[in-house]
Amino acid sequence: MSVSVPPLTRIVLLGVSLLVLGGVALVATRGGGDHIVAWVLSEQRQFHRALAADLHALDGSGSFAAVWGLIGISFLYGLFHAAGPGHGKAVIATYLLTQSCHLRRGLALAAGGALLQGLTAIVLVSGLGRLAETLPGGSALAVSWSERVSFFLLAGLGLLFMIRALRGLWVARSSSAPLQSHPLHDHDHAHRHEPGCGCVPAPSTGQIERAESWRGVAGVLLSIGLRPCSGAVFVLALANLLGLSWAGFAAVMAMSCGTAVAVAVLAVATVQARGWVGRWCSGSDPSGSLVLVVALAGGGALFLLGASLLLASFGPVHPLRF
Amino acid sequence: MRCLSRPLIRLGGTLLALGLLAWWPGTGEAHPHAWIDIDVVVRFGPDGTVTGLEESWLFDEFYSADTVGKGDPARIERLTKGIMRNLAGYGYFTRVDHGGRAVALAKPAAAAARMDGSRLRMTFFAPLAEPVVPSTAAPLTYAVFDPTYFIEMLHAERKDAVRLEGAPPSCAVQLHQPHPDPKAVVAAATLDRTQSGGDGLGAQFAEKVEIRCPSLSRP
Repeated sequence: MSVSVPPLTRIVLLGVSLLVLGGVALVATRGGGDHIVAWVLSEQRQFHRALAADLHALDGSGSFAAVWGLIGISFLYGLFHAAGPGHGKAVIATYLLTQSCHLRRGLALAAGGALLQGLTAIVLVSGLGRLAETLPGGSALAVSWSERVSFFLLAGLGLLFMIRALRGLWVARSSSAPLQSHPLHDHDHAHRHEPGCGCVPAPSTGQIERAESWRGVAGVLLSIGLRPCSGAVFVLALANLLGLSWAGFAAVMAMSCGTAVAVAVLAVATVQARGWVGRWCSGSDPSGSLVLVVALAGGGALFLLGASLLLASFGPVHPLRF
Repeated sequence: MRCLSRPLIRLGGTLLALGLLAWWPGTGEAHPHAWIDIDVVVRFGPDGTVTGLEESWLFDEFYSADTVGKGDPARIERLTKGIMRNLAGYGYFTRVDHGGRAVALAKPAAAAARMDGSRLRMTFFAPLAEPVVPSTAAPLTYAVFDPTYFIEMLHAERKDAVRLEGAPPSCAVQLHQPHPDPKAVVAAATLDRTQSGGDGLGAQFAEKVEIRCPSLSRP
């Protein structure tokens, strides 16, 4: 496969990528950086202001225009801002790059994670918040514990990926022949490998791996979904205050849709990228140790991220947070 | 071996691109998480010295809704007390310099808060421990900011966001926009909501106000 790509094309591609990267680096470090920074910061501020203004407009008029304005701005907020909670994209990309390369599963995880995230915010803020109305800060406490569970799962997921990778590397070492089964993949049902998946086809290996597969999927979904995004929490708090709970729900669902779209784009890019790499080296790296090494590194990074977030969540609280 | 270098280059490039996409936390969880519009009255004594800063903080809608709801007076009072108690350890997020030397603040005498529309407005007077003369050689500068950059604090976008009260007519105010180091911007963008930016981050994003009174020549 690698032979079919002319070297010239490759050099041109590499050159273009380097130019783009260099340009971004130059703009970021030189004069243009200030403007970009100012723009990013003010854009974030504007988004929050727009959300608040739309809710107030809705409170005053209750018109359809205000409803659609709120839903539109929430969708954009989800699309541009969140693109997953802090760690959502990292989890999905690492999972798809190293554990399973089924596009359909990637899309389902993106949508499921985003939706679950929205529902978590609604349950914690509107559900529990109502119950704990007499107890100030009740929903904030619920949110922070849900976050901790999510961070814990994130670290656990990283550990799981690392163990799988180590196991795979061990197998690859001990058998000098090319691997017949690919220990890294979530081997579900018929084990149909989409073209360009970048792994050696192998027969399905039954229940144990199916169980492992579900563990991975559940870990990804829950570690993303149990952390409500701060924008959703804020919108719900303000909407509840104005007696517009339904508008809050609609806004959060719109945010989830935006987030799902952003993460889905990332999922497609990941599966595509893995396909390229797989095709490129299918001849020389039949044991897939490249993927295993990436899986080890990705798992380690997820573990560190989860652990550091978990630690930070028990750290000193900001003086203005109550 | 022929193939090994190519996939490595490709893999490297792909990972770089994906890493940028994937490991860059959405700004939704990045700092800052709350916004405060500030108004400051710089109070002068009869002798032309600056005695302190009267600060008015207008919290954003979401922080207000989250902490005091509709603005029940008892809740506002409880919150104000809590904020002032917690801020004591942080110099009330206010840094004052005189000719490049830090000026200490005395304990604010009184803090009050009320709802301004649907936003919480808190005001307090931060007296300087020792009154100072803002001369041309040794101007008075101040910055109001959250050192961890959890909150972005900027002067309200009005001409009179900084006012001088009882100042000699020659006094002039200059507001310097922040020019954060790109590294600080990356740090802020990649910090999670639960993580602290450390105490150096916020200063990078702080506006600095400089006050000079050319007619005051006393040291």
